[in-house]
Amino acid sequence: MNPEEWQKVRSILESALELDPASRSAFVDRACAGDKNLRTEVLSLLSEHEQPDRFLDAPALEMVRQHAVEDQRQRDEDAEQTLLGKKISHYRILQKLGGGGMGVVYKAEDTRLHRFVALKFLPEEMAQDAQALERFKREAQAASALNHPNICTIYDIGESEGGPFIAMELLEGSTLKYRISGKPLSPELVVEIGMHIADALEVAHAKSILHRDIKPANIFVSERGQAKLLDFGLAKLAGSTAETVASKDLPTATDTQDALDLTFPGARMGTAPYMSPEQIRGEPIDARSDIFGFGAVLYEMATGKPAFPGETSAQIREIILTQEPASPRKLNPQVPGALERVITKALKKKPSERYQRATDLRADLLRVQGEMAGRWPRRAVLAALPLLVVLVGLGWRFKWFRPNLAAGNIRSIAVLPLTNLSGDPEQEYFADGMTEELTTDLGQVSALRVISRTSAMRYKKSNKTVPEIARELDVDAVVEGSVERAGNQVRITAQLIEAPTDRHLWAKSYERDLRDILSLQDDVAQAIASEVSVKLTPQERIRLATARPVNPQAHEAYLHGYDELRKHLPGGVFVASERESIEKAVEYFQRALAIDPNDSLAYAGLADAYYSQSTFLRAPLEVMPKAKAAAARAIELDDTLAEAHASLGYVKLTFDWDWPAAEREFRRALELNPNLPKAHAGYAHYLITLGRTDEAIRELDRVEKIDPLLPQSHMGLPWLLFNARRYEKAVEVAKTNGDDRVLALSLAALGRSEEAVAAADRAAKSSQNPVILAQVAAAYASAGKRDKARTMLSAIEAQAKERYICGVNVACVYAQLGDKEQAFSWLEKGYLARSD
Amino acid sequence: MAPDSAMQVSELLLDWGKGDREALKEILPLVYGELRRLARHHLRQQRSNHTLQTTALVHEAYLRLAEEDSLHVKNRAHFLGIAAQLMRWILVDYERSRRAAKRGAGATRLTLDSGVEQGPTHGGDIDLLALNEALDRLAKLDSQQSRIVELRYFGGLTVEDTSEFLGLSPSTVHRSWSSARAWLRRELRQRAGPA
Repeated sequence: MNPEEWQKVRSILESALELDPASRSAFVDRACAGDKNLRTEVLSLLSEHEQPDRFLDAPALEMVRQHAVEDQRQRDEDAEQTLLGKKISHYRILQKLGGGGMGVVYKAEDTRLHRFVALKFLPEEMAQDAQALERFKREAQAASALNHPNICTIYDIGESEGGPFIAMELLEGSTLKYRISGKPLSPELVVEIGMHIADALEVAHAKSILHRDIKPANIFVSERGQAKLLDFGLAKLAGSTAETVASKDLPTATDTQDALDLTFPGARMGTAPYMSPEQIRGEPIDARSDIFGFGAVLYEMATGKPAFPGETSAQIREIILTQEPASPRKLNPQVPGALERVITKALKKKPSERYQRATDLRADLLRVQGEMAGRWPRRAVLAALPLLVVLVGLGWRFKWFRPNLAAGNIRSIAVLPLTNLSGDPEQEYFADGMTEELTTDLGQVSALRVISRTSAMRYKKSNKTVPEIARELDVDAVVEGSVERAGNQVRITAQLIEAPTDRHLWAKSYERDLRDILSLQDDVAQAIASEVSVKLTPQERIRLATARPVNPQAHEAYLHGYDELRKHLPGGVFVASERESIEKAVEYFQRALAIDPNDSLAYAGLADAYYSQSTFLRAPLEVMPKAKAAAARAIELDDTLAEAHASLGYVKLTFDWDWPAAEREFRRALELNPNLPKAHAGYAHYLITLGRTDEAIRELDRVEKIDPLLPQSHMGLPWLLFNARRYEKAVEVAKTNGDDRVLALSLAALGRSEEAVAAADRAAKSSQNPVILAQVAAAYASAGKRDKARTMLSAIEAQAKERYICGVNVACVYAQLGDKEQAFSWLEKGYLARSD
Repeated sequence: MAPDSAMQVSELLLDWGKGDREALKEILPLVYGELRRLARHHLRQQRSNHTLQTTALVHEAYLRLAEEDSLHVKNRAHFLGIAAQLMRWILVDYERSRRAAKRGAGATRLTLDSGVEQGPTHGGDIDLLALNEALDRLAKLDSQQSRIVELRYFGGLTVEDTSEFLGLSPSTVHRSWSSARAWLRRELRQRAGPA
């Protein structure tokens, strides 16, 4: 059929359809006037129309969703069919207990020890993700160290065809979620269960294990009223929620709360209604985050209502960040005042205002219990007895606790530039490199905020006192020290100084062969971490303990390359750099790799160097594949290298336009090193690309906290604000940051032309980089200085003949000048080169 | 680099609504990313007891994106228009990978698949890949009709929304839809062989 024929057919068909069904056939006969083919065609379509199968009635999405549901059910059934009655390792699967986001749970018999256990299988998506699997094993190992009556014991982990599984204690009873079901529990029970949970948390936190996802669905209450906490640390695995080991008669929860429980992709780990503010903001969390979740659980037990009710996860998160929950006593007058005070304190927005330890919360609950009973409860006396014994024992052996644990309050730290004691100015780069790496090592400790090297470097030759520096950088402590290198021997001396008091807390000197330089840095970092008594997670401890030996010459070349790249890349945030440094950096990294082809750091450096060329030196099509290959190789060599993941993230984001992959890489980098500015900046970059400006601003805020003195940067906050059209704010921030380029652009956008031109004048002098100059030219054009803009443009275009320049920036100037044709021609160029 | 130039470009070309293709290039990744994220999220919910409305989904994406003034979508109608096309890509892609997974899982499953026993055109279960191809063929006969099906079936637009978006009368939309639907039904049936 051709379009003309179709028009004929459809016109008759549509007219026929207007008539009542009985008279259609006669109408078609008349309308086709003897054209047999036409008549057959129309009648055939007419009969299609009259089929009662509701073809296309429901939108495609609804059908696809049904498919997704069916597939899931099919998968579950298949898995169940294959598993029931089967033996996996030495477990015989008996029946399905429950299932959910975190996998399916079966009752099984341990055929060796002849006891019943619960087997939990990971959900399919996770079982196929090698990294998630690795984390799953490590977390299970860590959690298996917890042996406590109020913690569901982990017996074993294993592998089967159905993926990896955990064998754990089989619990009888029901989840707290089921117990609550919208109705408050008696205050006595609230306190009783509360103390069990506090006990469990106390033990876990003492072993540096955070739960991360405390919620009623993760707490099991036995018939006898004993509470057990489930799924320690599992929330960290997939960002999905931990479902419970439920006994058979337990209803499978399908209410809206469960829908909310599903962690939103792109959201922080944990379950929205019970997440602490710091967890929502993606900040490092510690035991106090668990205390918050615990507070939310206490609230829900006491009132029957969630502490932070909301329709969507986003709304709930917003409420947690900004609103105080309604008074529990208002919702349930039976709640004693003392219990309300405990709940309120646990739910403080600021971690420093909450209970600092589960023990303290437990002590207060005990007091509440005493008040409620009107007497000192028997249980409490019994519980206090062993404690007394311990205290007596300690007092006898150690006289008393150390009275001042000041170092325990250190949460932020700056590594000041280590002094080069080698007497050779040529070795300066080496001392700086050591400073940088020590900073990076400490940065991997999630409980610490570590000021980036760039900001710390400002104090290289400073006469300021430690308290002064600490105040400017807003840190609790600083690390000072020196590096001395003689041949292949290195000596590092480091000391930790408490900032407000200038008190020396710790000092030590290390001497090693250059080959073991990385383990030396790790030792120093680990010593500092333990000195400030932050809790290292098991992964952090592993990471700090497994430094590989390096080839000294290769490492030296790497440090040189890094130095070149960093000359213009403050804080690891990519800025448009100068040509010579980048080319030198590439050479250095290549030299490092010629010496040691397995140097993953050098590969990551190489990736960054290639990437940096792509805005103004070489076309992305030329350098980005190289950057990608280098980053991929770095990850292949060392999957735990945060720098490499961030480097790959940038390529995925700006060149491959593979946003999910970019997000994965940046998040992995941040997980490996929560203090890596490059990773935060990259993640912000990603968020902006997806239009999530507010989140991006938060992310860049974070960069600013790590790196308060970050100079004007390509990706900085002012630039972001400008692009988000928040000009007033952009002006304000650009002024503080001394970013004349953005200041000029923003002022011009606000119509404050004179000031804009003044700022542009300053900016034009500060850089030779054609991309920066193009942006300044755009500011001139928009402020009405068209001649100036045109002069600059011709200079830039002259440069463009010699090297690649991101066409988009030039196009913008033309657009400001109203020259659409040129603008499009440059855009086209940018597009052809796959401009990032 | 990307966000800067992305912003800059969308700023530069904010009048995509006037037919500027370049600006569309900038907006597409934002909308696509958001829609795909939302669609996956909702598909993963697996709650058979509540229906998922395409328009609600698209609206959610719109609200999230339009809040950011970096997105210069001229108005809701334009947004719905882009969204319908993107939803078509997203959903067809989903079904394609689903089919590939089934093929991998072996033939036993395949026979249970796609409601063959009820015919390929049964209201509840349609072969989206075949429909996608048929829609392309329809576009060659009458591109407006193909667009109407795209808007209604993939974009979830009502007759009224569709007519407003295309600047047609509701009765025209209704008529075009009916004949297109009959034509597509026959295409799918014939492709699937005699039922």
